[in-house]
Amino acid sequence: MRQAVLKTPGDIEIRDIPMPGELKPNEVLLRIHNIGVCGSDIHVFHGKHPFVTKYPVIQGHEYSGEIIKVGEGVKTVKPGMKATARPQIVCGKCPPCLRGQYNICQNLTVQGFVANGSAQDFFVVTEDRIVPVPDSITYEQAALIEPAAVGAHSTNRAGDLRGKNVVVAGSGTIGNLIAQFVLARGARKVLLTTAKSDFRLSIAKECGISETANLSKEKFPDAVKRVFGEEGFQVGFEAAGAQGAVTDLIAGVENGGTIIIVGVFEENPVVNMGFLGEHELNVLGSMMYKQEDYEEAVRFIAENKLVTSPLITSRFSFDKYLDAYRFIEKQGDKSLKVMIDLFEN
Amino acid sequence: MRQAVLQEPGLVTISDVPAPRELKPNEILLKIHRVGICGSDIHMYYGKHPFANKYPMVQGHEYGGEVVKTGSAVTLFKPGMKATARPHLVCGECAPCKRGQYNICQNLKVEGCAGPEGSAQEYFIIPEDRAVVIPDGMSYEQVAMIEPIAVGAHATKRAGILKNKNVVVTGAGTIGNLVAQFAIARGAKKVMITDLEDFKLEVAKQSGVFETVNIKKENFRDAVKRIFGEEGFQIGFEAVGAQSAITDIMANIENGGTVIIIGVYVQSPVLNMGFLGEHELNVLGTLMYKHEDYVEAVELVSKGIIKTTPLITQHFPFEQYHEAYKFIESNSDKAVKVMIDVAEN
Repeated sequence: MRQAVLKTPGDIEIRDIPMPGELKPNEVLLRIHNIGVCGSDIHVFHGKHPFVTKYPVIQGHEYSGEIIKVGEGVKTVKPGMKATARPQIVCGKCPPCLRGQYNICQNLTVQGFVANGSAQDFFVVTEDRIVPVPDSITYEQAALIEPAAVGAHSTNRAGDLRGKNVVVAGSGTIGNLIAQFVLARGARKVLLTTAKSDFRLSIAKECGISETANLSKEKFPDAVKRVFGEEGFQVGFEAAGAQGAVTDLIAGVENGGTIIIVGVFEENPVVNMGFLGEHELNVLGSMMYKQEDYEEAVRFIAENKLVTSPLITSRFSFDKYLDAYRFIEKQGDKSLKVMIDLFEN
Repeated sequence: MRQAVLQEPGLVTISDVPAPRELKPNEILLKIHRVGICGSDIHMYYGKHPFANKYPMVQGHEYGGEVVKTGSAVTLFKPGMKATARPHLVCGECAPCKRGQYNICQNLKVEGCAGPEGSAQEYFIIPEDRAVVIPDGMSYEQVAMIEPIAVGAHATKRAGILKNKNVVVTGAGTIGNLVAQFAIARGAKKVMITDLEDFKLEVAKQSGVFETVNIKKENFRDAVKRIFGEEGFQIGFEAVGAQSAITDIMANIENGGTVIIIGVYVQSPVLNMGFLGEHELNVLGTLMYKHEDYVEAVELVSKGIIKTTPLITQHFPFEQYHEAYKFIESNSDKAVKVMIDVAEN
């Protein structure tokens, strides 16, 4: 079968490797259909991910596939079903695991980052991490369940969003999906911002996010005033991983407000502690998701509470994996989710 | 009457000013006995407070006084009683005020800080709604400590449940010391306090905070290991306002942990967003206190649960207000709380 290997930063090779061996009783064999390329994949491709420094690595943590075979102990899924799976391998013994926060396991390993991911024709996952997907969801949509689960989890971190005004900084896939979740969870108004890409804002509009601002053309405080008037905003999501976005959110949020940090920062930002302290802000990290976030993402996509098709802006066949990354490098602000299609030649 | 005025950064003068005006019905006239000097007073004395930069300023927001006269509508206070009061002036109309978070009023003014004049004078008028009743038997010095103790009460409430948690407090000045005492009073399993000065750590021990670390002599990570073993710590209070302190806490706290920012930063620090985000930390600001924090502070001091005597390291008479600041400037390693004795007893 084919496998895409990121050998060193900047270099992906497609190689031929043997099929996976016999399944253990709790394992499921997936035939991979689609893989989404994630912003953090690109960070790793550039050798600039804050935690991933070991090469070679097999990437791929956003994917969909068909169940081909199941181990003898597997009860919840069977061959022929569509599925995806969480990429988290956890210890189950550390304090966060013991209190149910396995997404921040002290010994967390993520497939596609440190452990090998799904960038191959066939992939073995364990039953406890598998998430079945109804037939009404396409394979492409199913490959978006992972980033949607990030949106589910991070918006849960922010507490009750009903009646709140919310800013989402960053209009990539994650920012877009967070904004859609915020609306689905009953926020009053959502403003989605970008540093420069009108293209991404037009995608946001297609997804039902009507209030947007391009901060290369409008100052953040002006946009806040235009959209929220005197009400200001109470919750901010940082999904850009950029100094300017953190600075704007921390300076602009209402006293007592909450900022959720979702973006990956290649360089750590300066944070105004005068605002953080004296405005009693809550700056909360959000890391990936739990199983229930995957399940909620599936439900929201199936119920059309999330609009996913405008997010997929380009498609590459598996053999053009490296071309997909180069495309993102060059056209980053003119693309959103780039999909690898293993069934296209 | 005499009044101490911070004329400009670096210059405190004593002036003679007219006695206070007539009382309004809801007001109380206090004869000030003690004024405590706060770290933020010193920031302002240096001209380096991030927000408080209005000169000339009559400082003083930590004080204990004797009620000498009351307005016609005052019911809880009578001449001869001891009292202190919260220094905040709030609008009552902004969103935080309306949800009861008046300590972070969007239009907050603080007496003796960026607002109207403080208590660095012989007589001072306070309204009854900001005053707290002091039980007999508490000394004026203890009364002047209620303000920083209320900071400790509020900051430790911001951290959620402390029972059975391991806690680190960086900074063994007045606030750090009191936060550590509160963490113990609220049932923390172990509390470790750090500082660069043995003198302050000795004061912490005298106050009942026994696990002390001099960061000049022992690496933070080693100290955490020595004191908490494999358990690590779940809550951190940053009461220094220093880059290294916030860096140490965020790099070592258990995943999912909570960090409370209390210190005033002359320079905003760089925060490791990798840890904040991927460890799902909760970095929370805390500002001053609410009335119930003052009330709790009075209760815990009167029960002997919070100790104040070891913290008061120097006294200066009112005429030597400037000398007191100069003393702190050149002896910060030997001073915790410096008291100004405005009246003799």
